[in-house]
Amino acid sequence: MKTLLTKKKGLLLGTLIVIVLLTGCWDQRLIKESRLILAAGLDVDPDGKIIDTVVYPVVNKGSNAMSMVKSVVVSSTGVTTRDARFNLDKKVSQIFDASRNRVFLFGEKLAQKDIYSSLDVIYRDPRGSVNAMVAVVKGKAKKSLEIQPKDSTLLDIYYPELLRSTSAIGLFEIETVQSICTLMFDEGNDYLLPYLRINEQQQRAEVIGTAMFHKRKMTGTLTGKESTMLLLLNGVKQDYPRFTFKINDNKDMKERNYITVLVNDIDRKMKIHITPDQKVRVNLALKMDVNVNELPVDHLDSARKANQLNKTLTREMNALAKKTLAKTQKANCDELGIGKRIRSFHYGDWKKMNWEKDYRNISIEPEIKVTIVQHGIIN
Amino acid sequence: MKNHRSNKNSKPVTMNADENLRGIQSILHETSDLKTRTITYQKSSGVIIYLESIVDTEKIQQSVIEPLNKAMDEEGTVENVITNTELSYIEELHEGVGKLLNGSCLLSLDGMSGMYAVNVTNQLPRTPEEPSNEKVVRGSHEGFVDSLTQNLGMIRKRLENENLVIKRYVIGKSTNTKMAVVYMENLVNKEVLSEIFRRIESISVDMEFSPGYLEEFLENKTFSPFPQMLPTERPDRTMAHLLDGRVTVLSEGSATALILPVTFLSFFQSPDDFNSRVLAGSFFRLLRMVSFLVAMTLPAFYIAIIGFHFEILPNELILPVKASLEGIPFPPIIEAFVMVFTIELIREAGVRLPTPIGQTIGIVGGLVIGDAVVSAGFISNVMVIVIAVTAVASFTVPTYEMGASIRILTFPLMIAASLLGFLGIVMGLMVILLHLCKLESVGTPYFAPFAPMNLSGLKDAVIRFPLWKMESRAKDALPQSKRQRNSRGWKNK
Amino acid sequence: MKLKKEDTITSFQFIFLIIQAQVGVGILSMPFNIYTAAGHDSWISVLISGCIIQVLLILFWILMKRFPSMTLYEVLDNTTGSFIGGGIKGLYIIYFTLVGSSILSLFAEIINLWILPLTPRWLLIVLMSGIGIYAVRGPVKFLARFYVFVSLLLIVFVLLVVYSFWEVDYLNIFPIGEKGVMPVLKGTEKALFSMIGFEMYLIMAPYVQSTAIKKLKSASISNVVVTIFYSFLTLICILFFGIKEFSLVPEPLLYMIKSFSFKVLERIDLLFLSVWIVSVGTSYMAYLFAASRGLMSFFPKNKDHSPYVFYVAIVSVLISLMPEGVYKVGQFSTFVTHLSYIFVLGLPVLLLLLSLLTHRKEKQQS
Repeated sequence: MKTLLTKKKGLLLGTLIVIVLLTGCWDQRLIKESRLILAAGLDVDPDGKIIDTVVYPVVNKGSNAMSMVKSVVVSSTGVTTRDARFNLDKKVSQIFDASRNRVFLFGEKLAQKDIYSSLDVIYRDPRGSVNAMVAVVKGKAKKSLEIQPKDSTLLDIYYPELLRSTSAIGLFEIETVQSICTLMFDEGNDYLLPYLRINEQQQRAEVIGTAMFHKRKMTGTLTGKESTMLLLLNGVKQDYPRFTFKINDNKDMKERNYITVLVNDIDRKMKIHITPDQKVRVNLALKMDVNVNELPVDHLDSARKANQLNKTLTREMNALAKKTLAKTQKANCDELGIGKRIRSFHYGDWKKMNWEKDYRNISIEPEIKVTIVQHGIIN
Repeated sequence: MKNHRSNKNSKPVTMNADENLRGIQSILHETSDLKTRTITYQKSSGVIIYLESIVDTEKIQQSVIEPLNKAMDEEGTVENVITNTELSYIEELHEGVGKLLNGSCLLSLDGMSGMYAVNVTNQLPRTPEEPSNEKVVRGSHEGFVDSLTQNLGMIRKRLENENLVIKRYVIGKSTNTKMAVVYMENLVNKEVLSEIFRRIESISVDMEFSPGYLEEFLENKTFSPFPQMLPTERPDRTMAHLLDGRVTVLSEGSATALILPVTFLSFFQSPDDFNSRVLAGSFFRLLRMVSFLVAMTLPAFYIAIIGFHFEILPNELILPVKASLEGIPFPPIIEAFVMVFTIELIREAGVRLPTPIGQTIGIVGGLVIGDAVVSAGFISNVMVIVIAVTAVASFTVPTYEMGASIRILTFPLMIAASLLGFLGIVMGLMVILLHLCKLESVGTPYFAPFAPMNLSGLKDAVIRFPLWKMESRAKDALPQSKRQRNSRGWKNK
Repeated sequence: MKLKKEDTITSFQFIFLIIQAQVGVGILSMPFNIYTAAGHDSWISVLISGCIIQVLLILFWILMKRFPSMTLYEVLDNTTGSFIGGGIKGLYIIYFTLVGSSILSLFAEIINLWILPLTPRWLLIVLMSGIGIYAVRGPVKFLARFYVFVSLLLIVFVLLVVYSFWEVDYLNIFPIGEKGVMPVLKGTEKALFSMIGFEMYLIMAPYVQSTAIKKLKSASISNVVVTIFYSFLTLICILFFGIKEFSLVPEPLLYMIKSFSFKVLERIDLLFLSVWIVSVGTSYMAYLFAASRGLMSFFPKNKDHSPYVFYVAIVSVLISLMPEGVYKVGQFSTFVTHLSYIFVLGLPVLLLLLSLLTHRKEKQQS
């Protein structure tokens, strides 16, 4: 009796295993049978259709262990991002896989319309590459993927490296698909994306500054210097933020009119004053310790000279800060997150305000103080 | 003479030889290797007492019995008659037992207020060699031999202790193989012991071939992939386990001792851990545990990644992996099976062959096949790396049996991974873990100290703590006494 | 020390039995569910519901203290008589089976959604329930050992989540109490349902070999751990997602972890899901045990629940296969959680009152 029972159970188990083994692997997606998209560019054409350009590597297996890898670029059009990708699939052998995409490049036109709709497909897909970096290209994103820079044979390595290194010199913070999603939905907190220009003669891309965004749209641009300043005003210090200022006008040789400083350390304090009738005044106190990187004109041999320079730099910096902040207000890009602070700590006032409009009209007063603390290994 | 044991309940030697014999027997817990021979000398009858396992009977005959017989009717004290080089006069029973354990035989005569101890230690006929599959870098290089008596002697020699008890059994109706169960009377858990006795006594077979037979007769779950008893050929290892309150089973004609009850982790410990320094010992022990996990899951993990979840690979790795897989004709599971199969073939071929040829097979198999198969494009080179690492990892486990079970467990995990990816691996590991939690070795939990979780046990079992920190015994064998020692007394002064 | 022949667990193991029964399939969507009701004050809701559970646990404790060697089923027989008691017992068995099936159903749904979109649901469900059968057959002490061991994985869980502290914006929890008290209370209800599993106290308590006060202590420890753990998870999710994006992500924990990447492993969410599968398994096992233990109580002669595990598992598999698609599965699990009003809050409290009023107690054997 007992053996019969175990026999039955064994039989049941056996059938189950056989069924499982026979029906096979439903979800198997072999890496060797996938086209890995490693960089993608999105544009909008005049009709409002999406142009999707992707880069994928192709491996040509050589006779020995060394294999040749090269990038291939294709592009296709569709009514949505997914549709465009679908059309791409019709052209290319093997199945596309975008889960390892490293960089998304938006054409300026598309960025000015709406970037969330184009990214929706990525947010919705469990394998979506939400870690990919995002950047905006002046002109067409398609162009940016057709250049052949000498730094790397693969574009999909070139762009992430380019963005990472320019981020280190203080132009912007790296934003990924996921990190901008949070900011897109956040009230009173906006973001910047790197802004690239394509130099076709040199076959290179170049970061010329940042694109200011408000919610889902690009609303303006900042130059490199302004971006660095805004980042510092936001209390973010990357590894090597540098500024070059004109301190003289009268030297014959142009180079001798300038000074270059490297920001060493910053200390930022933001104070928000709200009057009972919801007039907002923001005080931004920023203390900077800088290293002198380049000063061809003179020698810094006394504290007095350094003090003089401090004053000049402070003046220049303040002017730059004011200009930058005015630009952000014009673009309605609340990169500093002032709205969010008001919402968090002055909720009563926040409810009476309309941040969409009020941000342009608040007064932001930067107060920058620069101190030279080092001057390199010569005076 | 001041005796250091006199403060204990030590009894003086009496005038009656039989009474002395009974006293000694009770001190040694009626151990079976205690042998006697009655003699008569100058009209008083007496008895010669010795531990058969550690004495040379020929010596007793030559240096004790023969001289005594010759001088039967002459006048003269025993000192004058016995020709042995070492002879001492003993008045306390415990002192006598001490001598006995040293390899002396005791001569007790009626009407004498003491006993004579004569050194008749057995000089082992051949030096036991180091067991080839349990080598250590430092420490004892002695191994068990095929003679039961000699093996018992080796244990006795290491454990000069009155609590060491040897029980003998005879198993196999046709072969009448002698077997011995060895344990420490004051440490072993009585319930575990009686369970082992019950199991051994219930065995009724024609032939007892080797400890492997015995293992199957005694263990709970034969179809479990995990060995539930620890086979060892090392006397030092046996001794350490005996002192943890475990039981050793030896049989005549085999150089392997079975230790039980054991835990999963005892298979990962090597005497080397305690011969090397604390940090190095802990490191190597952890390394072995990691290698267990690697050997079991690495191929499955790799199959799951390249077949299901390649997005988990970091950016820098994904292109090389893809490049190496390009143009491979088989699905990953077949690729892995072919490779694992090849390695098992090489291993099996190498084990049976004499060492020089075995090495050749290793080189031919490993290098030539491995290289050719990649350049022919049958197998990707990443797969060769993965399977090779797996194989090496599975050989780092110090016991052969556990290494074999790991290699067997690799297969179901690989199949599960090729069907369901990570989900399959997790489910497979869950089943293995459940099985480990359910497994018991003679009534004690097998997966201790992980399950049931025991933090102080973990510290001894996973990491090798300094010896002076391990003052209490491992609890998994449920020993009677917990405190082990206080080895750094000088620190307290 | 003695060789333990009888089937008992220690109070230490009891802590993990309850934790593992509580932490399960719901953990992925828990922050979202509470968020929909309580907004960014969800973490307060979790803390409040922890307090409510503590009160319930004390009530359970008073009840079970009167019947130290009985499970809920025998208590029912004892206080309400074998006829009514039998009926309620049957209902409890059905309830536990239903919870089991809703666990299976949600499990298959999330696996289909996140990692294996094409693998058939029935296979996932059958495999999971097969593991459950293997685990629950045999003494409870083996199950308890397993639970304690896999609780180590919860540490991995926490570490993965702690990593997100580098990526959050602390301003997101302000202003505290934005929406007032009502939403927080509504969130408390949701939180309470996510923390269901503590009713295992009623089933497991007699297996614990220790004093009554120690049992309460263990249960309280597990409640505190789970409450802190859950409010921590909820808080992190709020800090990470901010105010508006949260309402878009029904499995916030996974979504959050998906966006991290380490140098060696990208897509940590796969690792996280793997750990989660074990948690799902343990809570399914707990309910499987509860239901089969109930069936056993109908046959007083039998002292082993193992033969009934198989039948309960088959029924739970069949039920879990019925709802299909995200919405149906959601409805089914909501229905089951609403049932727990009766079976976790209502009936045990009634039972306690009844036994207090009628002065029923287990006869002390000396």
